[in-house]
Amino acid sequence: MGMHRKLAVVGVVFVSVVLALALAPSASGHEGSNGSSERNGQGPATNTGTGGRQGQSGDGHQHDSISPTPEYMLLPAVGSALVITAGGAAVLWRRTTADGRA
Amino acid sequence: MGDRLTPNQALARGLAVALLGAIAAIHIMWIPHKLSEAPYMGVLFIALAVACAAGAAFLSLAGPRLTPAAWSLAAFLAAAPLASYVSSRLVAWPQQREVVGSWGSPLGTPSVLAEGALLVLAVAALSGALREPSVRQASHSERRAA
Repeated sequence: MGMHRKLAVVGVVFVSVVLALALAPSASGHEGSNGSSERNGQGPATNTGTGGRQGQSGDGHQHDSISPTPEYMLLPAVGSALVITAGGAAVLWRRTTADGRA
Repeated sequence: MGDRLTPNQALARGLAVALLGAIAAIHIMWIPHKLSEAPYMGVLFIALAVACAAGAAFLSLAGPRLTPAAWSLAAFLAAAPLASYVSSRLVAWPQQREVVGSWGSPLGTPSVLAEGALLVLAVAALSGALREPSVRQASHSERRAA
């Protein structure tokens, strides 16, 4: 197998893995926010010392794990990726020389 | 725009087109969520998806004179969302407080992978690293002669 083909295979595998990672959560029916959130809130601070700085009340820092992909967006997303990639590949295929010389 | 490409050039452009397709697809999936959460982000995501499709067409069709512009556009389409992703995780954007520190979101990681790979590819193409050895040698000889 030539170097170009090897690189092409590696590239296709890489893009496929990236797309699979992106599509997997919604393909498995995982829709919307999964509700797991981590709060690092600190509650109201008290400061009883004289002359001390007023303590800040913590408002909590929320980390939501977001899975925003509704299933109805899978088709437009995959379709657009396929159209862009296939269209570009078809044009490039026609423009490529067989002997490697420009 | 009908100039012939060497296998190296065609392969690099093909990979870049596939990565642009992946970036567009990932951001299209985010559009409904972003439009409801922060409409300006939804509009930006739509613009990015359209720009990725246009960039892929440009990269496929560009002749020798426009090739640097096409690769520059590809680099921008990779770097802009990458920079936005990183900055939005570090600093709260309007209506986007909840994503600060959220580095492992399900679509963020694949998006960063695709954008990073495209950025590396575009920089390599712009720096001349992807040219055929014979072409590289010829241009090197031309520079020495000049």
